[in-house]
Amino acid sequence: MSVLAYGVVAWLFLIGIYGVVTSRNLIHLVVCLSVAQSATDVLLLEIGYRSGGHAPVFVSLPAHPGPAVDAVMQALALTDVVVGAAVTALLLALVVQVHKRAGTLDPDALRATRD
Amino acid sequence: MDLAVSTSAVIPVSVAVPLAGAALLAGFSRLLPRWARDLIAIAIAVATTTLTLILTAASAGGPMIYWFSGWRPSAGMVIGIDYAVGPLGAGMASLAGLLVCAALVYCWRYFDSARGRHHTLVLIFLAGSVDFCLTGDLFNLFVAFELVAVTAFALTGYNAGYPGPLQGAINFAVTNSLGGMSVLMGIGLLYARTGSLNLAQIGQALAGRHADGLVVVAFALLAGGFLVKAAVVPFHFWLPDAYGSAPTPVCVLFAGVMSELGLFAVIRVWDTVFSGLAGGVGPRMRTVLLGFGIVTAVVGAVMALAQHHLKRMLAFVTMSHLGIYLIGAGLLTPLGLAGASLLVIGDGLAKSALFLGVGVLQHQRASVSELKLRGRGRGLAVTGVTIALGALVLADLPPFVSSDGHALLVDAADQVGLPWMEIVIAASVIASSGAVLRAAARIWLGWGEAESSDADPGAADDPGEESEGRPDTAGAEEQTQHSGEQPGQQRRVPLTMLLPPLVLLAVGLGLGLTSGIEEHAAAAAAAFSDRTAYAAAVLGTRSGSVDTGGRIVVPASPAASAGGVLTDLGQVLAALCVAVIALDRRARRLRRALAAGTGWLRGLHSGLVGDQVTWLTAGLALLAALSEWALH
Repeated sequence: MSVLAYGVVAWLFLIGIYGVVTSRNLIHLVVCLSVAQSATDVLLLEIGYRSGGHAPVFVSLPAHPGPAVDAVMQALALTDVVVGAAVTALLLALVVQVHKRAGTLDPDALRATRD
Repeated sequence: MDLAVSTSAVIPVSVAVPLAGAALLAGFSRLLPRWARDLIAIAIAVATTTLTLILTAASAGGPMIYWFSGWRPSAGMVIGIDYAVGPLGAGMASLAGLLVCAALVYCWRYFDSARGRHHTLVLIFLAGSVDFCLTGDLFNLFVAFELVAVTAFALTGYNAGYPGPLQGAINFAVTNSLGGMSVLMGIGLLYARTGSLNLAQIGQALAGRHADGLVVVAFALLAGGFLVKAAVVPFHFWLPDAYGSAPTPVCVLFAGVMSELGLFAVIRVWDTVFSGLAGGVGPRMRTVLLGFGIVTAVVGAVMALAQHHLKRMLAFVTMSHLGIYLIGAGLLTPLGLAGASLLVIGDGLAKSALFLGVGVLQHQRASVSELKLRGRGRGLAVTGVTIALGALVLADLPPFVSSDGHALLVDAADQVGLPWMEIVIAASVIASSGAVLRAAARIWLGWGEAESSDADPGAADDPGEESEGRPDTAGAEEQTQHSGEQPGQQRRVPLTMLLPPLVLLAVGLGLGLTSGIEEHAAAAAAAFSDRTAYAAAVLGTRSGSVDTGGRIVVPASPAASAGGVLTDLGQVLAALCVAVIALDRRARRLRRALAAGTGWLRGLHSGLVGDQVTWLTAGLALLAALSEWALH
């Protein structure tokens, strides 16, 4: 289970980066970045996971609640999601501007503006 | 006692003030007139600078620890989140505050229609920077890192009407987001190993242990992520695109603060967390960091000489300096760190003055191309003096504070047994300063040949005429407004654009003339790099702190400083020679040979985001391999 989760982390991160590197479309590129970012979230959740643990909500628990998963890692993942949302929104806004100005979404087309 | 309590209350306020100010401006910018928005933003920046200066002075005696909501550690176990304020971090925050003040004053007339959002973003940037410098918590460090990064992406793309800024902002955002992910993964792995997010506690948990694979990977991810921000080769490719296209006042913040924060984080994390690892990891890690530093310093300097786009030139100058700071910090001795800190201040002020001077050119002459501006500097004498002086300060002209930093750095390298490091540093400094002087001589003295870019294949890397001549949005708006007249030839330069760079240079001069600044820096750096004292102060186990009081580093001897002055003057002369050679007609063949020899390097800076991410990934892999060698 644990090995599988770490495998998923590595896979998501690498495939995301591969997508960013080879992308021919800026929207695709931004989504690939989000894919790479989801690797960090999976990693954080896996680090905080305890098998059989319940959600870290500590109100109205039964008498013997047993272990809870690590709330700190969940907080980190949540923050990361917020950051990711902000970056994605910003990038997409820039991409809209690119399309307005250049009429294309090809990342390499931006280069034409330089020389 | 009362004083101590009141100063520790300053700690959280110094972050809260700019954040609250940003919220205020964001909420009420429509209701406030333009001058009120400017005044509020400047007042908040000044207040923040003052608060951080108070902290710098107050923390000189020892680290000040602030626990949010009073959640102090119990029995050496951290349960809360802390700010651990030392003079080095607080000083860095003060520099950020000062540069933000300068940029905001400069903006007063630079942007014709500054919307409230610009000031809001700048203030959030400042809050993030201060938070970054003060925090003692790894996750808080990440949040501040991202706060600075996201506002910086937005500021880079502020002139989204043009393709240049769009490309700069997209490259910047994609590469630095990957850097942020890398940092967060490193944090997660460290937490998995030690169960803590507090720097001091993680450091205690790792102290005396041998690094296992997990710790090695965690270090590589953390350092790699921060080095992306610090624009160290091969993580640096985004930097010229972002700096070359961001609005000029924003470049001041980027060049003076943001990149340096990346290095600050690397050293902070190294000193507080990893330096305690068993197995004599210091010397090998020094080799790794120095390697990265040297390559960055040299590549930045070479690329700076090849640029004719002034902002890109300054971007590469910044990068070269970052390499030098990494050399200083990477020596992993307090003296080296002290030298690097003084250089960060001195060069940061000078580079900011240069960027602001270039902004005047952009505003008045609607171009930032050295070739197009040839001989067109007349009428902008003050700016010419500013830029020439700034360039000389880059070459460590005494008695500016960067020359003190340079002397300390050279001493530190000697102490470690690397006297040849001085040559690397001098060569980079001379080349980057010479590049700026060449541009100044061409623009104000009309030296060099008339526009014949075929003689300079170096122009190939520069963005074309189209995007070069294109001013910031503000400039463009201004141009359309003043479309009747010659673009700015007759307009007078507003005082708010002439004075800030001069004030920044004066601050550099004043600090350089302050007696004992080297000793202060050495003491601050010694406190910064003492892991056990830091941990004791944070965790409340006051064991090692008495002992550290007496262990302040021996300051550089006056004799060495005298020799340093001569070296610095030599550097200044050499930089002038480089500028002359770069412009002299007879040296054309030499220039052509150099340009051909460095063509491959310029070709690497393609500006394609895919290439940049490939380099970043390769750099992370390289760093991981080197960390394995150094730590394991």
